[in-house]
Order: sequence, then structure tokens, then C-alpha cells
Amino acid sequence: MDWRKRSIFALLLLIFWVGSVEVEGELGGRRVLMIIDDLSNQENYSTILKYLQEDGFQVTVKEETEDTLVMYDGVSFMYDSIILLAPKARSLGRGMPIEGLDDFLMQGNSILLGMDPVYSDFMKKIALSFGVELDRKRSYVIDHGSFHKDLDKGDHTAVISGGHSISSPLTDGAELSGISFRGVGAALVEDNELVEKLLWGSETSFSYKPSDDVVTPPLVTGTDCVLAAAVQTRKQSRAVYAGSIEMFQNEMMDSAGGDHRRFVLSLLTWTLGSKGLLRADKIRWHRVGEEDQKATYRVKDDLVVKVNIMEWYYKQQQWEPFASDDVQIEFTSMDPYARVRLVPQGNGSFEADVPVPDHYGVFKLEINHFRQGYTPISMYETMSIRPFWHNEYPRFILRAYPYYLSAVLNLVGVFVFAVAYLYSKEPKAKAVKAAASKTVKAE
Amino acid sequence: MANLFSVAFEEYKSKIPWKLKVIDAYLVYILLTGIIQFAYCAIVGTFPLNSFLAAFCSSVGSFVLTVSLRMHTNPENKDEFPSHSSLKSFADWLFANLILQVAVLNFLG
Repeated sequence: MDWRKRSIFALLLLIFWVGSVEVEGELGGRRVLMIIDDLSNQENYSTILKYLQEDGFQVTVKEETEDTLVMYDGVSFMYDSIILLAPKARSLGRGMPIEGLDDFLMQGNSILLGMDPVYSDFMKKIALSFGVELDRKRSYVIDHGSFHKDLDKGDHTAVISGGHSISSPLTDGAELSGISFRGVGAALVEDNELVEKLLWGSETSFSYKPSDDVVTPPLVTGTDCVLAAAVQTRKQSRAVYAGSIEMFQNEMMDSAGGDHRRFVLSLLTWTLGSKGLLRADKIRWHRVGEEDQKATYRVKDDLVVKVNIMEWYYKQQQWEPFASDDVQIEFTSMDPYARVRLVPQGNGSFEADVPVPDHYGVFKLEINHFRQGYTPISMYETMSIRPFWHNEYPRFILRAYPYYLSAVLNLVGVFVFAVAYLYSKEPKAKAVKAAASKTVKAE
Repeated sequence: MANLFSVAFEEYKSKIPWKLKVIDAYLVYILLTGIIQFAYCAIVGTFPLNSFLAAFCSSVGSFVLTVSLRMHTNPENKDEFPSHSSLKSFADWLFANLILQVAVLNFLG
């Protein structure tokens, strides 16, 4: 991996992780910009356009080469989401460098990136910044074992996917089959932990140029073939990659079956923030039986820890309580000393009794809630844990009274011995008697 | 056998100076307190460990110091400790014992 790739990752990681200010208030603006390669092909996308418009989105369709393609007016972004279905585009319009997309994501906006085997280097860079490494140009995902019989043109590039993420925000937990795909193969970048696979190829799929004989190992094979992937930020925004623009077009939407249609539309609305957007407030805590929060506690104290987590409901356009029973909190100092399940209280508040470990130092109360399809929650608060104060130990324990007695007797014993040693004398009579008996014995 | 012990006891009574006998009596007393404490700890457990350690170390320390005193003041060891008068040895013993007892009381808790 060269330094350029690394610097892009570093930048993205920085942007995704540095900002700790939570986005408050309303989410999910409805202004969507869709960029396609050729405006004359707009009819190809009429199915998804119609669906988005019925769902309440205002979609503006633009061509990459248009002069009117402006998404940033110098102060703020003019759209809330971008659907980039222009794999051959070489720019994002006037005044919008590639790094502009990072700012776009940082402000809570989302991007869907559609790719094709014929792509520009510019678009490849964007995909790479999402954590997806594209195969060589003009290489397709090929699958001789699992392809769509009607859509295929003989080279087995109209593949049927091997599986998809069945997270509940994306497909309501349903497992869909027959999701078709014709596009470029890709691999996840290994050192990007944040990118998650959404759709992948079957066991028999691989990525190669259909016209060539396979002589070198393909970039990816089997279920490692990434067809769609996503990075979610803590700003409640999503950067989604899909390796095929054809899967969004009418031809495939109409003939690939209901599951394909359902998945693509779910993917679209999920990208635009329909489900799984979480917001967590600061972690709060207090000692059992107390009200106020302190920065220092003692070992073996019992704490009550609370946190508020809300989920965005885009139909109602408001934050509602998030209900889940698998949120955990950890009490860590290098390693976790306690890991406790947070119990939902019904109003978005989660609560847990956390015992302070018998170990002092600087500790973190840490929530790392990474679930497929949900906004990652990763936050912590620090506190100091002190040992018992000298006057906090128990005194005059009943069980220890023999020891106290013994210590005092030893002290007295020293005194008595000192007096006896210094001032006592051997009794004369006894000494004589002893000497006498000794003489008797000797005889 | 009984005869053997009585002979040894008579020898002790007649040959050992009075001061050493006083020391020996004290040593027996200290040894007994140490054994009793250890047995008590073995029965009730180590819970106030600091208290046990303090009291037990008080016995052990006193025992060691007193054995030193006995070696210094024994007339048979005169050649080995030519510079030790018996009074100086006793002052040493008293000083060391005071320090020991202060530490013990501190740790007794």
C-alpha cells in the first residue's frame, strides 16, 4: 500500500473519530442530489426516482459535466445527501474538491456511490476513501455457478449475490435472495476496521475481465467479493459503496425479482437515514443512594450508570427512545474490569449497576456499541478510583482482640523482664540446697 | 529416660547462672504467646491480617532479640564478645525492643 492510500485513510479516520460533539436536533434533510453520467439516461433510473419522490425526498438529477452542478456555495452544502451514479465522472462540480466529501459526511450527510467496471481514477479514489479497493478497470464479478438466466448475456456477469447483511435497520432482519448485480469486483481495505460488507458474491464468484483467460489469481474470490459496503460515522451519516450502477436501473429492477427490488430500495433509504441512526448523550453516574456525580470514587463502591440513547424515526421526523437489550458498558483501565449489560428503562434511558473493582487508578466508563446497520456508538468518560483512606478501614474488630491483648502483654512482658533481669538475685537458700544436692548426687 | 531428664534439669539448675535462667523463662513465655497466636490464626482465619502480623512479629522479634541478649551475656561466650559488657548488651536489647514495640503498635490497627 502506498503512502497516498495511507494518507487518505488517516484523513478519513481522523474525521470519523476526532469529532466528539454529538449532532443534536433534527436529522434527515430531504434534499437529494443525484449525479449520473448522461442526463439522456435519466429514464433508466425512473423506478428509484419515483420511489424516492413518493417517500418525500426532493431529488435533483444532474450530469457531472453540467456547469450548474454546484453543491457547495462557500458556506453550506446545498444538499443533504448525494447519490453518485456517475462512475466516469472526473470531478464533483465547481468548488468541490474530493476532500469536500469528508466535510459533507462530517456534517451528518450521506453518500451513495455507485460503480461500474468502466470507472474514472477520480471515482476509484472516492471508493478507496470509503475503504473499498476496486479491481482493475473493465473487470467484472463473474460467477459461472450463480447468475441470472434472463439478464445474462452469456459471459455470466449478471451474478446473483451470495448473501447480504441481514441487520434489522437494513432489511428488517429478513434474508432476501436473488439480488442481482452486474459490476466491478472489489475488496475491503484490510486496515479499515469501520467498513462493513453489505452484499457479497456467492462461493463460486470471482473478479476478472470476462474476455481474458484466468491466468493470474483474481483480486477477490468467493464471499470475499464485495458487491456493496458501507462506512457509518458517529455523525449519523453513511458512506455506502455499491459496485454496480445497473442494479439501480429499471431493467434490473423490473426483471430481477421482488427481493432485488426490495433490497435496492432498502439500501437507498437506509443510506438516506431511514433507520438505525442512533444518538447517545453523555454517560452519567452516581453512587447507589446518592444523587450527584463525582469525579472520584473508592474501590468497592457501587455505582449506578445511566446513558440516554435515541433513535431517529424518519417517518415521524423525530428522535424516539432506542430499545435494545444488548448495549453494554465497560469499566476499563487498560483492560475491562467489569462488563455490564445496560438495561433499557423504556424512555431511551439505559441503566446498569456497576461495581467498582478492587483496584485503584484512572478508569474509563466506556460504551463501544458497534452493530451492523446502526450508527456506531463509541464514547467514554474517565474517573479516578482511590484506595481506602486510612480512616476508612474497620477498627477494633472483635476477632482481632487476642492479637491486641498479646501485643500489650508483650509490652508488659518487656517491662517485667527488664525489672527481673536488672534487680532479681538468685535466692541464697536454693543455691546452697542445689549445691548440696549436687554433692550428694556426685557421691 | 526420666532419669536422663532429671539429670539434665539438675545440671541446668546448678550450672546456669541466675541471669540466664531469667532470660530462659522469658523466652519460654514469648515462645508460648507466639504459638498460641499462630494456632488462633489457623483456627479463625487471616482476616485482620495486619493485627495478626503485628502481634506475631512482636513475639518473634522479642524472641530473637532476647536470644541475642542471652548469647552476649553468657559467660561461656566471653571470648567471642570481648567488648560487650552485660550492661551494654542489656541497653542494646532495651533500645531495639522499644523500636520493635512502637512499630508493632503502629501496625496493630
